[in-house]
Amino acid sequence: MYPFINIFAAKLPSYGLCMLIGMALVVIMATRKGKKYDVIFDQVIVVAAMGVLFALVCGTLLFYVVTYSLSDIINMISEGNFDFLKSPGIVFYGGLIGGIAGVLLSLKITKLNIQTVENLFVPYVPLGHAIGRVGCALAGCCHGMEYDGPLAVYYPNSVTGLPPDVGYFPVQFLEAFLDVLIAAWLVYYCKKERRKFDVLFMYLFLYAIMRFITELFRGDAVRGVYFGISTSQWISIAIVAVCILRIVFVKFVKKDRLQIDE
Amino acid sequence: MGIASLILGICSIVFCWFPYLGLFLGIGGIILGAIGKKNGGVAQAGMIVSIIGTAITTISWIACVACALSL
Repeated sequence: MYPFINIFAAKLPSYGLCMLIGMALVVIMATRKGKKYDVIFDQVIVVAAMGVLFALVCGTLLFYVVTYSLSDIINMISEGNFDFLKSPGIVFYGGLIGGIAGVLLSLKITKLNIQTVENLFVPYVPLGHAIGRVGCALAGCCHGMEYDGPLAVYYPNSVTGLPPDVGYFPVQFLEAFLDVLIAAWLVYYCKKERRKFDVLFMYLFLYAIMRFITELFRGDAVRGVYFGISTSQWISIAIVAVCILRIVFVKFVKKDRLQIDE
Repeated sequence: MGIASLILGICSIVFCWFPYLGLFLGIGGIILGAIGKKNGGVAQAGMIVSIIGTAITTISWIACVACALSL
């Protein structure tokens, strides 16, 4: 569609621009909401930065672990071959675990409690993600399956080299729309009585279901497929299972009290 | 901590064409700058430079990671 956007004399990649707008939006919304909880910008930026940093580190490390064996990496380093560092990737699971670990660690530095951080960030993360997905659509990555019906999108100059005359299902826009719906629900859910981590698990549960469905319409076969189900769908199933286990644990074993802090 | 933040911020701008390195340096600079901000203006300057470095690095990404790998 539009992989590059001209702003004044500069030709900027639209994916990077959307990513930046999405990240800035999350920080701005969290800062605005933070005023209600006496949370300042410095605390918000530390939580956001540590979440992103740990997500990047853990996601990248897990990518190397699943792509190369430890002995391969040691052999390559001992031979002075660092080519494997030129093509890093991110494993979603590693990024997710790392991001949560980074945010939990940032609580020590910022002296904030987990429920406040949940209220400030979680409802706006899907909003930022939605803008990122629009960036994918503009760049022509993460595209849908081939499709000629209404609302089909064409990529005459995509960065991934898609044929210009083939129509694709607008899966990035569908995902962006569903992300906005999730964000709206989470904003409402934050005002209800809930326990610690309820908002986070609600987001993970809804995202996993949404991802499982949208994955059916994806056409970029870069990821692996096992027993007819893609890697992302297996991860979604695992996340839903963890969320259900958590509901059972909290309801019947721990019997946490509900609380509201609005 | 302020000077470290400033150095990381400047490095993140210099290495903004290396997506991972630029992001690591920029985000590290933001964290150090925000933590050390109450001790003086250098940390604040470091934080601002790091935010600019992180923003420039992010804008330079042309596609998401999985797709960029298949290019």
